[in-house]
Amino acid sequence: MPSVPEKICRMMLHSTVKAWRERDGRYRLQGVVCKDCGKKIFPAVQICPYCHSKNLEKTEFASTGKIVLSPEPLWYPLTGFQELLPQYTVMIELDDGPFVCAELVHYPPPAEFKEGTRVEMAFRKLKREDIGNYVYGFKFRIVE
Amino acid sequence: MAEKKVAIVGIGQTLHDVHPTRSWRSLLNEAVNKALTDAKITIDDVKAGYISMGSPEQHGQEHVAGMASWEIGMWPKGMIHCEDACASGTAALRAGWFTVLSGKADIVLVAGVDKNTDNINGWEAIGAHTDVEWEYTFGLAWGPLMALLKKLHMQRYGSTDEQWLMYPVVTHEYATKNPNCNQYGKKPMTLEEAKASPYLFGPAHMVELCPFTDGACAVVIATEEVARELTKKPVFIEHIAVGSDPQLLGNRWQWSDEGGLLEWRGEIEAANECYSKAGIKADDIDVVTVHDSGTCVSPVHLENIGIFKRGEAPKKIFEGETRIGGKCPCSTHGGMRWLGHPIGASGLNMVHELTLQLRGDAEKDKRQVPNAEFGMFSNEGSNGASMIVGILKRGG
Ligand SMILES: [Zn+2]
Repeated sequence: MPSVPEKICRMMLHSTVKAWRERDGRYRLQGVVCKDCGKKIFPAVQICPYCHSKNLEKTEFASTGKIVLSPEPLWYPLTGFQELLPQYTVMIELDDGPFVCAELVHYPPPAEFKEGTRVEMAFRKLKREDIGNYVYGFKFRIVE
Repeated sequence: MAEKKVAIVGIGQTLHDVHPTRSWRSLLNEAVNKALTDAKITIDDVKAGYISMGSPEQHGQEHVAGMASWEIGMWPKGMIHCEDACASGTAALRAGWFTVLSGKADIVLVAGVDKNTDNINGWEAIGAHTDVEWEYTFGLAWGPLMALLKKLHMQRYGSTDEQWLMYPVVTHEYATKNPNCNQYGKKPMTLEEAKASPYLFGPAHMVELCPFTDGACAVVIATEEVARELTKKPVFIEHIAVGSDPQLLGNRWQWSDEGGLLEWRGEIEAANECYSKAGIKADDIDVVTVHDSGTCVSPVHLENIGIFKRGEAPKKIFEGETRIGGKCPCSTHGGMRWLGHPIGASGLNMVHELTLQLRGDAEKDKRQVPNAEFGMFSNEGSNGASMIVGILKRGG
């Protein structure tokens, strides 16, 4: 971490309830399963995009999966993410179906992430605000 | 009943650059005045107006339509603001096209502007074009997400980094011939120079991503009857379609059993709708502009709209098929990569260039596609959650 914390200047500063109301998805990977067509959808939606059914059931998806696509490390992040570089954005296929694009936690950073690598969900601080609140959510870590 | 025809009768564009001394109002005024002059009309002839601004946060002014009407002399007629991220310009054009088609107005002004350099935190402003709850808050911006597409294409179809880097090389050569681009008159970039560019969001190089730029563009459209009075060279809007794909790449991957990241259903269907309405095929397109704020995704657009076969676009571009004389010259104004990407203006910049090409007016700058009859644009908002595709046809 840099000795001087990143100065975070935002064009908008979200209230904490904005993050809190998304907690089921962000903390537990809760999405929905369509009771009519069987599609598993994450994050949760209110109408099935595939068959337009409103008969959806909340479901907590598997917290484990594998990397299916990984680019190079990222050194040019959004505001509020500069203290944890480099950033790795990967595409993950969860064990029970849905795909999630997420950041990989990486201490120490390995030389490279191979597609097919097994991962599990990790609960992490996503970003910091200068007024002191943190936003939390899922990232993924490599399963040895 | 045959659908009425709507024509582009005037276009205007500012120099695209960093404009420290000029506000969005100043840029907007210049583009509008040029378009009105080009159409040989005055602001009093304009019956309705749309303004596109993709990122008002970048200079802090929301409710731009209200300010713009006074600023360009539309008052007491009002304007309406259209925002569809990077596809705002063509979204506004589609609204204007509908307005003329409806018979409620015979002459409509569509103007786009953005002042990317007024916000020292501009990258953050554009981050809000992603899904704020599930991407932006997680630190995922469009750049790294787009880089994933290039990686997947390289893996799946064996396209090479060198082939991808030819897109910014070809469009830079066009940019050096565009007086409204700050690359005008410069020496064209070589492939070796492109290859030396570092990764910004690997495997996307810095040379594949657009800079922050200020600029404006305006288009005047009118009924066919009015157009025939105003100009000998009308350019007709054959069709404009809107498609959409899930913003979240995970959702997109899922719907198509892994094809979704590269096969954009919204864009494919919008393009097919345009071909069907225009009664032509992809092979009939003479000149195209595809979204290229990140050229690390442009070949995918060229595949989605059928200009090149699936998996082949980077190779075809490398072989020169998007140069003048090739199968389909692409982004002959330099594209968003080189002209810059003042977001509200960008979609209209595509239309501006196609209009020049279809009129034969790019000849004076030596970037004319000979005898171009059909032009096509594909304008992307964020990661394709908005896809606006249109076909223009030479009239007269
Ligand atoms: Zn369903």
